[in-house]
Amino acid sequence: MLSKLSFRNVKRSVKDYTVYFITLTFAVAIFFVFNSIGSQEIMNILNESQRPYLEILDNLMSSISVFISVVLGFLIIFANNFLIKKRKKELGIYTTLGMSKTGVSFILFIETLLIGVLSLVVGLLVGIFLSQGLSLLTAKLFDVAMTEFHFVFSLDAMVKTVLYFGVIFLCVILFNIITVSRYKLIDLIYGGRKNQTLKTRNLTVSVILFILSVISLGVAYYLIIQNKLMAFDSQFLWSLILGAVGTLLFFMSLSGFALKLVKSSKRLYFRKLNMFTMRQINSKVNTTFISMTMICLMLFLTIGMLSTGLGITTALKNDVKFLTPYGVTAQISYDSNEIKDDPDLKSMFEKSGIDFDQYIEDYYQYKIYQPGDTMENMMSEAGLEKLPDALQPWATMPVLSIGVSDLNRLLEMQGKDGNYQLEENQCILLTDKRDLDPYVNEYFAQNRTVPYNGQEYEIKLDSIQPEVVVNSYQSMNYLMVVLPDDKLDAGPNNEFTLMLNANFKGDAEKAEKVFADLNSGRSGLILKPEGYEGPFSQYVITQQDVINNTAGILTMAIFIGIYIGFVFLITSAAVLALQQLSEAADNRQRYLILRKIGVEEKMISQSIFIQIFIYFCIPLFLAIIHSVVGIYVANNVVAIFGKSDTWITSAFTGGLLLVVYGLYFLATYTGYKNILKSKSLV
Amino acid sequence: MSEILRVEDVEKYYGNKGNLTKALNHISFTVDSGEFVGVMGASGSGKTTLLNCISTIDTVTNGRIFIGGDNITSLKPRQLSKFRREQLGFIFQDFNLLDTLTAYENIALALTILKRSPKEIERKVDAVARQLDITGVLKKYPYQMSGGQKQRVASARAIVTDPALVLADEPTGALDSKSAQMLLESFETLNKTLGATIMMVTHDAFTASYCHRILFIKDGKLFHELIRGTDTRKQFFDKIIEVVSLLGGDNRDVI
Repeated sequence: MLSKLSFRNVKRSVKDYTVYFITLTFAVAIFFVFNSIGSQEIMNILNESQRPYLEILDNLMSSISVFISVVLGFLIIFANNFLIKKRKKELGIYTTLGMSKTGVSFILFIETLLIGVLSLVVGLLVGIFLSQGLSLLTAKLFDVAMTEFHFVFSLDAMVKTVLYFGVIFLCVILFNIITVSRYKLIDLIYGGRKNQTLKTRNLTVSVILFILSVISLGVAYYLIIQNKLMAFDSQFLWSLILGAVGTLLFFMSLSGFALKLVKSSKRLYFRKLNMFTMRQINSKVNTTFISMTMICLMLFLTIGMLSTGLGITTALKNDVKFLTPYGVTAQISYDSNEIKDDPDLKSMFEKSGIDFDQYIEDYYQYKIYQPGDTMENMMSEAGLEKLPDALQPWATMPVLSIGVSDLNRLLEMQGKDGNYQLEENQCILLTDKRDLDPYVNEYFAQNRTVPYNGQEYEIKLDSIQPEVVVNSYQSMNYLMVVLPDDKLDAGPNNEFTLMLNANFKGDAEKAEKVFADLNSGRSGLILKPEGYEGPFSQYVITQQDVINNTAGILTMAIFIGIYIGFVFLITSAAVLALQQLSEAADNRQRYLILRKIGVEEKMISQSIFIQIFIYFCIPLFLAIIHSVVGIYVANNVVAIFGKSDTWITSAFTGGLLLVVYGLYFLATYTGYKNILKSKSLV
Repeated sequence: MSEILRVEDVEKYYGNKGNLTKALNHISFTVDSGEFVGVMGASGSGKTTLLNCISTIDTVTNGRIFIGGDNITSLKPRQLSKFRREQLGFIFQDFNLLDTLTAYENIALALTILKRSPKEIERKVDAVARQLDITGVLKKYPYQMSGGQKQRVASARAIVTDPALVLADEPTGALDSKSAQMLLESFETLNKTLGATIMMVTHDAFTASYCHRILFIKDGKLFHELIRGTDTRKQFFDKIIEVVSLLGGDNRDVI
């Protein structure tokens, strides 16, 4: 009997449950998708060097999921609480009719179970389809072709999803039982009637607060633009504090300010329902500005995280081809005082059982010198006090040097025309950072000589040459000096590393694997000269390795960004939607009055639309402004990693955001109208 | 005087075949322009149903209702709300003022939804506020006003659009006796000086004694009609009490 009642209740209040149901379904789907990465089809297609990245990602997702499930748990309890509040009277009637509290709890239990199971099933179905899409995205990020498509279902992820959400639903049920047992009958029956005192803020105060909020936001923007995210100092801290306070004040005062503004134009204020709509918004904002502030900041975080994360990774990806012009780079460093003759790297490879000639078509061994100069001390020796801001992050990195004939030979390996010529005391400057050289060029145009390793060199070419002499994961050699061959070890300090660049023959896949193993150290320090016991290091970096690594980071950043961002997004949207819907129930009387005095249905719908639109859009609008400033500043940081257009990735973020947010908006709008419609005029 | 309302053989049924309630049972009457008519009857007699049907909030089962010559029983929902805001004014027992708006704005709302110009709105609201002696409370919100003030603001909202007919449903029901008296005097003013046609539902004999004519309803039918004529209010009141006791029913409701 009781369960029959529950079934009927759920069926009857489908409209009330829409937002709750959408939220649960989204939550389940997203949870399933990101926990099923490990068992997706893509795992079979990736090669052995790519797979570890996905395994790390899979583990990472598991850890993040714990945090996510806590967030979702709170959200679901909040949403459930809203529904219970709305049904106070109904529950009161059950109790008056003599139903025990256990009975009422049982009804709620069955209802929660029903909705839970339903949303789990639908959410999992949606999730299974979405996870196929995620496989395709992963394949694209790793640049592998998915030749055949298998529909894969992850049992592990399903069990995990059911388990996690099972626990959440259990909490909801417990929460319901406690809530019901604590209510007094009189509260339940008169739950709908509460003496709401209307808080109205003085409009002049609102105007002052609004001006204050705009000022503090302006100052916050100014400070963060000055700070450039380069130092976590008091400037940065103040920007955060002023930004948060400004946002809070903004929502606190906006409606009052807008009301004052509209009121000043009688034509606008006394037009159709404008007066009512403005007052309506004003009366609500006064009570909900805190949640609007939270929502705005959450949206800002989502947009910022997604677009900056995507920006950094696309930057890495853009640069990867430029930074790895050789099939493989091998590098050893050792104490050159102990080993006088340079070891021959090729023979050392062969000694450890690698058939060098079988894999390698073309190779070259050379040295890179590191006399200990940094950009900072070179500049100060040249009499220049301060580096431009753009150069600051590289100020203390060592500036390396290479011989001009070595450079020419390496350029030849890249298929370029290498014929640089240097006279004594001349040098050429190189950089492996393509996008920032205007700064440096400008800098060195003023100064035609540089001090290096105890000697002064004349800069031969007008601009810095963007050339890469070693494979690397990201730009490392911001400034490199090309010296005449005989000047390399002429200075007081002659520390060097021994390098070998090589290109693979034909089909490089096998060779790739052989050499990639050396990088991860699985084969041990095989390039170590025999009998040498001093300090030693060995790196072998293949082109494919770097590409995979970048794809791995890219995938991780995108997945984590989407996962957390998406959860934040549905949390914000759901809270906003539920708040609006509970307002709708409280405001039913007002709309009834409007209808009675003959206001057209269309005008009422318009008024509701404007209210909800403003409610959803103001936090989004301010979040977007925050983000524009944030992304503008973050672009400087992203630039460290390489050239990227964060704006493009932001467009992707925006699209995703609009779909989810829009769905909630529509659900709220129709839900709001339904709540108002449910009562006839009589 | 021209006829403003004609109720022709109206029936209103509630329920289904097995359990039919006739809230209105073949009722007919007319109201002329400039009249102040009362409708009396015990609880459940159908007086509120009658008012709801006339005010187009509810629909009739059978019969026709004409207001200012228009047959309102054949109007479509869209036309109904247009008709309601242009031809009718409403005064409710529980005021039905919007708590977010000031008194001035509540009155102005009736005009803004008619898309009147701000100048006209200002002029009309000021005029009606003077008539009803509420100029002093125009800037206040409903929660800052007394019940009597609220009901006079509601009356101002009802009358400000110059409706053909003002419908009042137990307007004194939530007021103390002094406020009720003041409100009824306001109604008299509206009726006499502005020529407003008022139809008021009440079950209070004192309230009814302000009317010119009273229709008594019992079990959904017109039971009796009383015309004040040249009687003083006291005499009219006594006559009303007589009819009410004749009506039988629940006397506690009446006095």
